[in-house]
Amino acid sequence: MMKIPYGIGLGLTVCTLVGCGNDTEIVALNYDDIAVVAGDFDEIQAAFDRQEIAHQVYDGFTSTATYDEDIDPDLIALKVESLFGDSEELSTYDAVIVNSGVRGFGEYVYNGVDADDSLVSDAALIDNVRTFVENGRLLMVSDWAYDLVEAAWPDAIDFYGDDTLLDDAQAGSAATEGVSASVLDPGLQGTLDGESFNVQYDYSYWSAIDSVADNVEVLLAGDVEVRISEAEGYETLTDAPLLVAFDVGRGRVVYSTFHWRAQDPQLGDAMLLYVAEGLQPGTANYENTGDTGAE
Amino acid sequence: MKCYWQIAFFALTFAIFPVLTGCDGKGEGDTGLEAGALAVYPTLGGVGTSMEVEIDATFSLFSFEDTQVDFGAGILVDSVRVKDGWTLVADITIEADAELGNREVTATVEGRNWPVDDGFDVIAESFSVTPNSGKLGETLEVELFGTSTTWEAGTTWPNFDDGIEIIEFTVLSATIAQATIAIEPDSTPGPRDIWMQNGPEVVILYNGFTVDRVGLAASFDPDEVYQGETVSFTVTARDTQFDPTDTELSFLEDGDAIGDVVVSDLTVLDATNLYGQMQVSNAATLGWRDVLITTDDEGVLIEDAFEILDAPPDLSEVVIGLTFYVSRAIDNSTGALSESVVAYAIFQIPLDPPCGGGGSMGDGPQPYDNNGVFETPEASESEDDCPTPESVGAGDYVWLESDANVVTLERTVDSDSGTIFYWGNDLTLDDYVFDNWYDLHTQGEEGGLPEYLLEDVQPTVPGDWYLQTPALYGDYTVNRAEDFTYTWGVTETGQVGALSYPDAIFYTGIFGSTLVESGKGGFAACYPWDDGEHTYTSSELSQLDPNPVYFVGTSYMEGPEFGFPDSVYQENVAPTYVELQAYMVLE
Repeated sequence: MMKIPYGIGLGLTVCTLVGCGNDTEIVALNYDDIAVVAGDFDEIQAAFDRQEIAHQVYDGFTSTATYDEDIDPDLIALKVESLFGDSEELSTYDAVIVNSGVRGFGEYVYNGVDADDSLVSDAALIDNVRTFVENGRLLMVSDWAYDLVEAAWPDAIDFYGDDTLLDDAQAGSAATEGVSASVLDPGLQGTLDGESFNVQYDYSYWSAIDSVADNVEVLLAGDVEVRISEAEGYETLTDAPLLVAFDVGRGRVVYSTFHWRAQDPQLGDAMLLYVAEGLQPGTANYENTGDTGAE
Repeated sequence: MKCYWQIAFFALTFAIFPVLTGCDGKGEGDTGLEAGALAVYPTLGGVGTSMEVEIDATFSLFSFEDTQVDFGAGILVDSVRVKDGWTLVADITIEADAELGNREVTATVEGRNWPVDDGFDVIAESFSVTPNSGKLGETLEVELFGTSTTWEAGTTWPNFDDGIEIIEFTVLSATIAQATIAIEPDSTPGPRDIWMQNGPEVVILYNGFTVDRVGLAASFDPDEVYQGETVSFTVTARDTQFDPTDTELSFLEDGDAIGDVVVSDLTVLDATNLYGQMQVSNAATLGWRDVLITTDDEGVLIEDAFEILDAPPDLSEVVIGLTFYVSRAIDNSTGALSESVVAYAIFQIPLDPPCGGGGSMGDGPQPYDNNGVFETPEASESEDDCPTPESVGAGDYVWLESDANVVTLERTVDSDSGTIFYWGNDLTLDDYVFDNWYDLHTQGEEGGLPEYLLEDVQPTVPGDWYLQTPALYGDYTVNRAEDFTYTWGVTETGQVGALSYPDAIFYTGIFGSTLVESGKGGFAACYPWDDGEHTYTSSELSQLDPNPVYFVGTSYMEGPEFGFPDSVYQENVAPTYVELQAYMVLE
């Protein structure tokens, strides 16, 4: 059964009372039911733990979690394939977070030469994702999971490299000192208390962005180095978007070129709560729900 | 779950802590709670390095809003990241002129100081590595540059932590070293500490090397081959730079190169695809092989690329090793004569493909009484790591049978190589019947060699002999300016010589010295008439440098060519001899 997000339900009630017109757009701001697809390289759910935001973890590891070798994916019953492959299951959530390093969204399996595009090449699955967001939900994606965004909304973001090739944008270089990013969004400037933010890249070969469509908001941008090829070396992208967001229908897509887990926890959490407005810190009721599924 | 309670406890701690301790939250407290409240890791770092240091609290202490860390003069704190109330991470830079030794580390949380006495030790030694990252599956060469280090070959060895194997390590100087490392394809990406052990001392470069998350990867087909097969193979890779002029394959077993698979043909199609043909030795060690593909300084390792499976021995290609001899030596201290009688047989299948150079034959004397001084043949310089030829069983026993006696050779298996051979145990001179011919009789076994009786294949020399003069012991010294005459025979019977001719031959030599002219290894040798007396002249001996040497005399003969009826190899020959070795000194 499809669950109506709290915000939408409230909105409909308000419309009934005051008589909203068809043009009126109501944005679901409360994301109560959140699915997190665990990936090898990012751990956005760590912020949820810190902020006491309840979430349900789905296994999506391509190999092993680099941030916690004790995690056994086999012990996570829910899988990324069932989440995205079943529109009914997907629709039970208000927000879906896809960490970097999730299987099914790449050219090759991790450490191998076999294909790993089972999810991203599934047209029905991509339709599910599009419908999910259009219906007022949040999709938040980091780094290597970018192929999902590219597949669902190919015109929104021009990723680095050839957009028709999976993983081709994975060319970013990781400078140890990080990337000094300009905070372009005024609201985010207030949140971060400044106009610049040092973005940390804990791994190179992160997925870079060349440019974005007009309807895409660039929240962070900076000069970054990307690898052209093994033979040709590196080039610099000037003012490359690093954190972007755009609305789709009544929903929203947020994409970060970086890993959230690599950022300063305090600033990173503040930024996360800003870009994913509607997350409800302090609302987790672990005593009633048991384990969140997070490690 | 954990964080929920952490946050709660964090809040509670700050709410009641001042009440409990009676402090005002400013300045250092002396309640005792501070002592041991914090732990710093790592606890030391070298001058001139940057590193990440974690500070853990025993209770929820750190504040996101107001936490600073101080490592004292000479250590810059580049950043502080509070992970939660229990943990913070500080990036520090230890300046080149920072004072050595232990120092206090202080965390200041909301104005209150939390010192850690002797929390951090600044040491003089440090090192760096270039490059400091590699890809999964990559084999690469790195250089290590030390500061104030005293690296030495043999006592210094690096460790790159989990998933990175040291293939080769060379110390070039006290401060420079090179290592060839292989990053396992399934290694976990991320930073690695590098441990440099130098005798009992260990210097660690924290987060010194990063395994990046992209990998060179390749697949190898087929994944199973049999011993003795010649098969086609293909390699499909990603992100590699295969080059038609500079790409090589090598095969490894447990990380070590092994020469039992030979690439006979290789075609590079493009940067990520190649194919070829390889011949698996008929004696290849069973099990999995890794394949290392190298192009320039890039290498991609395919772990467990294929498995070599057992192929049954080809009994039509069995060669026979058979010998029966007497070996004697004179103890240099006492003059006592030691004696061993040896008989053994081995049935092997020659290596296919052949392996190793085998070395050169060199020059030697010609019969008879033509003394000569010769250069010692050089051993093979082949670096091939050849497999051990496969041996074939022939039952629990084989026998050397004759009318005079039967010598039993018992099946023995070498525990290292697995080689089967047949050995005569506790043999004495009574077992070695002179001037005799033995048949080779195999017991036979299922799956191995059947029962065979090969008649008159193993001879013994016609007669015994001993060195009669001089008494070569007690550092017997020969003046090279004088002739050296020796005699042989059997004193008790009045036998002169070794009765070798015409069936056997008698041979002597002086070995172990070098040639005066070239400085290379050399020896004097002769096939003397077996008349019981022979002389090495001063002109011959003076061609050898003064050195401790060995005198060797041998009565030697071979049997006829023979072979197993079903084998293509019918040129086997069984030698026999009675040999004496004695120590002496050329001056």
